[in-house]
Amino acid sequence: MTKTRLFYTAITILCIVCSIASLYIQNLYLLRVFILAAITAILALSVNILVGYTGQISLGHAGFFGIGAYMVGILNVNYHLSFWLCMVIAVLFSGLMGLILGLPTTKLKGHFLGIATLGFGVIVNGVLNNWMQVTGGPQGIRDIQSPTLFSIPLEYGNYFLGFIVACLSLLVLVIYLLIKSPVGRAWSCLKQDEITAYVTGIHVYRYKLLAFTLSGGIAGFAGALFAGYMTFISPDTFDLNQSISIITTVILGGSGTIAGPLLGTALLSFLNEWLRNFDELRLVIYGVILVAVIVFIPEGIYPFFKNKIISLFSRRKRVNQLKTSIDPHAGKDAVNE
Amino acid sequence: MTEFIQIIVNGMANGALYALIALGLTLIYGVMNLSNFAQGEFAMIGAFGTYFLMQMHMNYMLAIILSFIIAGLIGFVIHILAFHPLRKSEPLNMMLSSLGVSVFLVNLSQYLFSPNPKVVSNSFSEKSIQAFGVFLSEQRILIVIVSLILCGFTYWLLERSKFGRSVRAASLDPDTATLYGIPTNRIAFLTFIFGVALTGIAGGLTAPIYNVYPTMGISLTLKAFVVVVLGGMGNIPGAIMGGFIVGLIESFSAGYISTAFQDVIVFSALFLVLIIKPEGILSKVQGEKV
Repeated sequence: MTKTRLFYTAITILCIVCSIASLYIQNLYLLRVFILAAITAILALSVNILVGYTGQISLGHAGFFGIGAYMVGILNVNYHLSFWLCMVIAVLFSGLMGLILGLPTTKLKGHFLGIATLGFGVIVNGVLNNWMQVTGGPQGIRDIQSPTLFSIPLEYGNYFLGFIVACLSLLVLVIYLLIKSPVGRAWSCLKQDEITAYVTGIHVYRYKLLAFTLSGGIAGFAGALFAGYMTFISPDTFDLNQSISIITTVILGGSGTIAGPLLGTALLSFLNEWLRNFDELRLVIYGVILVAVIVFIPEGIYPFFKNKIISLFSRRKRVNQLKTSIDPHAGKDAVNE
Repeated sequence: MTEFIQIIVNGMANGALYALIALGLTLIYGVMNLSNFAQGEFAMIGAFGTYFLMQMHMNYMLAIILSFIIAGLIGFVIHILAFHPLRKSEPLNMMLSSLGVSVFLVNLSQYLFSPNPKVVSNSFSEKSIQAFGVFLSEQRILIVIVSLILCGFTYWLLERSKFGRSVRAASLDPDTATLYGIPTNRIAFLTFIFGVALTGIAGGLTAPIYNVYPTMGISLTLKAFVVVVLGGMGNIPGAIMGGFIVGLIESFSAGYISTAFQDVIVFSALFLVLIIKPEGILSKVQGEKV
């Protein structure tokens, strides 16, 4: 008990230190990278709710991200609402969109769900690009007001980073509590086997819808933060590539864990910046690394290294135990056939 | 009335193309359980192959046949590196791997050949036939004819040949197929190569109409997925039907509603099908296995 309490205290202190330390970063380029990485981390957490905890694929998450950002942009620029009000509306609206997308698609599985969500992303992007009167088309929306928190202007990168790291920490806490709650247990049950979950008395569709709504809402939150930071949004930020890069971040990091998506975001953000040295070859190398990681570490980087490290410090017996527990096919066939 | 017929004719020509790409996609899905997001990139490879072979003053038809082989060879290498090692892991991983392959291929060709569109002109692309006030370029007629021949050939291959029987067995139940002595791994290999090679031909066929550029495959992949879902995953006649349906929806929405919202309308149609009949419009209903 004391050990776990120590662990949590350490994490809390780490979060607070990160938030405060972010005020002292001098390098503007680094600041920008950190802020965008934090926004990506929030997005990755939202996808992780779907992919990691309920076992559903989303290839259209840039759609929710875009809806959140555009809600803030439109309401702030056209209707002059304050940023915070816009943000609340954006989160609620993208959550609602998640619910609406979830209503038909929760009945779908695997590839079909992937293609349906992909279609959602394409439709949102198409609307953002072509509904000129409202979204401004390919030119996007300019001059979104930077938020001010308790008379601290967040247009300065340092303050914004501090704010966003605090948001991220809070979000991690909320998701952690959710996963430990009955809702999280229901999710993990229906991820393992839907029919068993149904038989146990879990309302599968309702829980899946909840996951969709939450995931959409959190992605919308990331979008609102993005709009507040960039003050300029255009449809090409919210395209298919974005959706794909979010889901690969989650899977590479290790879906179904909280640290996995965060680690994935950190690694991929770092990798992306480092690959700028290679200019045009950047995305070629990115693609190769993506395939290589999936081929060699299909369970994700975080679970892989976690098991490696645990096996270093423990006896052989325990290692074998862990290996069987991460094998996704162990015991599954016995149920299916 | 002529406008209406013109729209139908254009839609059919595009639809034949989509059917051809979707055919490869649905074959690969059926056998490997892989949603191949790099499918359109093989059309790009085929189109670039055709372009460079035509630069070397090769006959267009010969160039197309060679682009079939080029796409097949590259597909072979990619299957070994990116998909074969994942054959036992979850389908989601394979799908992500195909996304990585897609990123790799698009950007490599951007690096090697520059993003500028390249024009392929052959003897068919300038000429067009006019009948009853409807214009149709000979290239589009060629696309329809070649696509239909290839679809027919694939159908024959699957239904009548020994290879086709093994493919069908492997896609129905790989474990049982292995028990009956069917080399499912080799079948998966051959199906992947054949599927992407068909797409390579489709790329060579589009080249004179839509030009050749590195990102051309992405929209083709998306369309092919819509087609495959409409027709039912792994369903060959469904893919051919679906191709024509998507082609028609696309040209009607371009003709009567708006070109800009064309993709939105196609994907909305996909949504509608997924809601009403998720197993595809031509498939029989199958219950879930417990």
